[in-house]
Amino acid sequence: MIKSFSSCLAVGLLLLMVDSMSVQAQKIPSFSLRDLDGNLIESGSFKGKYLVVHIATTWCPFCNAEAPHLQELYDGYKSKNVSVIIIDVKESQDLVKEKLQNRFQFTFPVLLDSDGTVAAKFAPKDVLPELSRDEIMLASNILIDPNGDIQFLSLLDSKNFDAKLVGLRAKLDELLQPAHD
Amino acid sequence: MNYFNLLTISLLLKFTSLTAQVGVAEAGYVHFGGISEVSVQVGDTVHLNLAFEIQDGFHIQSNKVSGDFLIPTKIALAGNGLALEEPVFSATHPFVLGDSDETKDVFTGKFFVGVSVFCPDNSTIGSHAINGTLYYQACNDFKCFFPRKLKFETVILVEPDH
Repeated sequence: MIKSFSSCLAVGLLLLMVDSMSVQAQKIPSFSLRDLDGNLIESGSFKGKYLVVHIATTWCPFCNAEAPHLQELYDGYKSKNVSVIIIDVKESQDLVKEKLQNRFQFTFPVLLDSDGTVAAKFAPKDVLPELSRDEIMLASNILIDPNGDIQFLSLLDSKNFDAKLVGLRAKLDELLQPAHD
Repeated sequence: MNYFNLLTISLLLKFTSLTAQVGVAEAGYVHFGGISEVSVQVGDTVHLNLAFEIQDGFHIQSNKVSGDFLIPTKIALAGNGLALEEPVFSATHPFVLGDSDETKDVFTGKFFVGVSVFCPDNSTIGSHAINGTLYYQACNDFKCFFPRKLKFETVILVEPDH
């Protein structure tokens, strides 16, 4: 029990570090994924915009709890040069259409990462190294600025689950504030 | 044994201990607890209580999930000549998803699957293996994990009808 507690504590501290550390130096990894209509969407098409990325699966309970709030965020911020995408990991087009798109009626792209390669590209290198890189990214949220710099990355923290995206919204509001000289 | 060998051995032990603490990749998060030796007479029925233990800090979805998007825990059993009734899972616990309004039912710690096994009249005397696969999707306090499966086996001793 003590060993398990120590492991959990170590993981928690690592995750907090990822959440709070500066990630301005990390750029959005390039990707090219198909949406649910078969259109190829490239990461470069979001250049010049703020981009919110949510990495999900249809069965992930936290992804499902967050989904309506993601749509709300998009509705509230799309006029402010903010785009939103979901990257679904290792699932078929039909399944994602049925269980995710038809259920939540997203008005932003849902992209299919059929082998998890793209999700893995976003993963911090030294966090939970014993897990596969795509698995560690499930239910995470990433905010990228118009220059392609990652400004916010939150991995799933079940105990402090932020379904309503309070942290992400706060960072977005901060970045959208006009610069004061 | 000289000092160098002792040093080497102690370093190896330390590394093994550290590795275990960090968390070497595991095949799964549920272990089969097994059952005590069970026997049944030909023509009779015996009730099995299959025990499973979920790793500390983890939970798996209930066998009856509230949303059809969740992956329920399922069990597949093969009686190899013995007739198995529908398995019955033990009770679940509610789990609240952070600051959302959603609660899901999960298994944590130990849970059991009860199954009645009927031994037909034409059963051969001796050991019969019951093969099973538990399908589950786990989360812990920090992550959710891709679905996994646990294969297990237990043995029933078939005895003659007295």
